[in-house]
Amino acid sequence: MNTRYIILAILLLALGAGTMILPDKAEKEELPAERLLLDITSDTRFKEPIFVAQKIIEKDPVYTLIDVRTSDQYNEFHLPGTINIPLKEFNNPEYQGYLDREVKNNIFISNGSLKADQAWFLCRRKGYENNYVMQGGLNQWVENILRPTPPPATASKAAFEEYNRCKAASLYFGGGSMDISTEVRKEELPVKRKKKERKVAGGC
Amino acid sequence: MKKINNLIAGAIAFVAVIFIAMISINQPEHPYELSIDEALDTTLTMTEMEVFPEDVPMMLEDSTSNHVFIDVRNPGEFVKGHIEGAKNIPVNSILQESSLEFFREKDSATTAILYGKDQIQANAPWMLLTQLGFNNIKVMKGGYDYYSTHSLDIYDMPAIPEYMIEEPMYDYQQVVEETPGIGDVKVKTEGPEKVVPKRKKKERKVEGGC
Repeated sequence: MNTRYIILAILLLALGAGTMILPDKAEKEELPAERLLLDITSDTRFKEPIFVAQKIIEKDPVYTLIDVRTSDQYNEFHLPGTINIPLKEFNNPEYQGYLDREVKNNIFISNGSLKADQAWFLCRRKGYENNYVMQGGLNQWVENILRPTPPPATASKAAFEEYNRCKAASLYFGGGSMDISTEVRKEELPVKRKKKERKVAGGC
Repeated sequence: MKKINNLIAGAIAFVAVIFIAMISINQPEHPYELSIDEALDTTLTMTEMEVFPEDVPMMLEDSTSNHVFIDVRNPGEFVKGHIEGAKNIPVNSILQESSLEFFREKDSATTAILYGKDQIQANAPWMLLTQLGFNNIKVMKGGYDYYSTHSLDIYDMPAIPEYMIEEPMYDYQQVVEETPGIGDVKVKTEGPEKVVPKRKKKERKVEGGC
């Protein structure tokens, strides 16, 4: 009986020692290539600029906007409410907390969507979820939000609604030259003058 | 003694099964050849691995250059039109054994050039294949949409061609300043102030007339 217990104990010890030899599991396991491929083929990682614009206007706390361009480019211009994590810093342990959000979402922004997409890929390989890419980047942001082109007169109602939403967003993000509103006031002035001139004519 | 032998044999078998199971679970089917740091480095230096669309016609004519174009769009789009001599490997079948065999079998001197409808479509497959350890794989800028629409004027391009998607096409700060917005309140208050003094002047005129 005793020898049997001893042998069992030795076996268990050996098993325990064996698990120590097993390859160290990384803190977060990398996503298998096949699983990563599935995510590549779906376009759900892309978010339209108007979607991003709405999140900025609503100040939605669920979405964090991350500018992946260099810090020089970021300092020159960036969207309101974005933070800067340059692509070359993406493996920096300091930033992993920002990139791997459990509940919150990140949207990556670059000039086009290439750098942002590469940032997304690297994060996805590391197993991080809830990251998105702004479709077309800042170049498309200018075309869609700041300078929206009106749809042709034959376009559907939805296209016009989309245009109006972009136009409204452009007012929010515009730098404040009030060209349109001052023009309206200037037009009002001559009308008032004419009325008063008539009064003068009537008086004499 | 016999009982103890059976026990030992059983236990060893048990341990062996657990070891084999644990090791095989951790082993992915397609392991990454590049570490995540190396993957970032190759991504940052990807300009070396980019092919410009205006170089494609010459590559096609030069019979000595060793390359093969890989079309990653779906077969329907491939049938409608593709770069001469291209091989169709849609994105979703890029990890199939037949595709991987192709990349493995092609001799190392041959460059595989991936292209999709735009560079974005080819970018992720390029990153994946590179990180899985396949060498000599490049990616075409602009993609097939650019190549086919500019087939006649492929050499005639502006200073910043439209396929340079990461180049800023606008001076963003300037565009923002040019865009009418609700940012500046000062202009608003200046407007009414100008209107008030003008009214007073006209009222005086009326008084003088009578």
